[in-house]
Amino acid sequence: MRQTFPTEIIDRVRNGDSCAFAAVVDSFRTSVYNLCYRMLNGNSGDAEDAVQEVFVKVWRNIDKYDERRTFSTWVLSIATNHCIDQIRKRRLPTVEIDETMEEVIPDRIPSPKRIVAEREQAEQVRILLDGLSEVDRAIIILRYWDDLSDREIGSAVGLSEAAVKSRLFRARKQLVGFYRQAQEQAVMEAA
Amino acid sequence: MMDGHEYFEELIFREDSLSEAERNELKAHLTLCAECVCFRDDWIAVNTLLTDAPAVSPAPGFVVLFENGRAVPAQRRNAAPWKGLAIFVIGLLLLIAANLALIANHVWLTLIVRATEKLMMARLIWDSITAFLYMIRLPLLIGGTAAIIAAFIVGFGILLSLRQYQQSHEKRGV
Repeated sequence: MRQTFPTEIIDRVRNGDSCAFAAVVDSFRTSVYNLCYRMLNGNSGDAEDAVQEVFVKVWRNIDKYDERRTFSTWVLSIATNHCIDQIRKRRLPTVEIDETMEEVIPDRIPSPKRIVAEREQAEQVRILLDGLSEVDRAIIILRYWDDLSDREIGSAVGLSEAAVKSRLFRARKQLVGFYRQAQEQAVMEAA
Repeated sequence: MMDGHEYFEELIFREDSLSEAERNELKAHLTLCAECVCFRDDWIAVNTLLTDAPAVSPAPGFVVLFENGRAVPAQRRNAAPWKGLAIFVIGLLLLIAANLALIANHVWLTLIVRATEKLMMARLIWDSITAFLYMIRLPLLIGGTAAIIAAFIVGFGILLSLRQYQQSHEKRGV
């Protein structure tokens, strides 16, 4: 992502301009929603609640924003920490991915075959991510969906760059392990 | 501490950004190591899954929901100073109420203790009187009986004397 957000909008938000805040919400709602959705086991209701709470925190803490940091990283760090807190507070039950699939932005009208394939892929991604710890999951999401660097991820999750590299390596290795388990299980079920 | 495989696994993870030397090193290793080839295939599958998964956006209705919800932070922000003041006032009132309750409790307990002391004193006096009366019960009985008898004798003597005096007076008169 690494977009530079206009500082004048941030200043306006600091002065209590709700229109400027709406622009902030509009710019980051997909990133924040995607992060919350994937962190919170693909539950759209929880993700929506989390996004609202995240933006409330952004609004409340805008005065604490340090301009030396990237604004998007700061917003995502709030979202990440919020999701990690939520996961630690209540171990979320897994939900079926089907109920939220219509919320994925389609680039064209998909065929039924494509819908089934996408659902299967989405379910696979959810299973893979669910196996990771909260922090590792956040690191993977920030890397793959928000395209953050190791340093930016470290800034978002409160870790050093070296720790992020180490955790990223471990998380990727775990993902391969989960993928293998899922493949083996699929083969056993087919047999 | 990385073992031999872990080093190549690390190369596999960042295969897109390898130097020429690293690429050749990995290529050479993959010709010899079936385990790493298998790992690489699985990682490519995982990586494809992750990179192909689209970013999820909120449902269309969510925007409206959030537009409505957006008033919440504004209200909270405006209410924040009042919230602090209200918490302070409530805290102060609770402190005063707690102090008053403690003072009332102290007064009440003091009154109970004093009343208990008075009752204990009364009980002590009563016990002393009872013990004294118990000690003197026999002399008191004898003395009382003797006093009643003496009073009866003295009274009878007085009546008898009066009767004799009356009789002698009547004789002289006759």
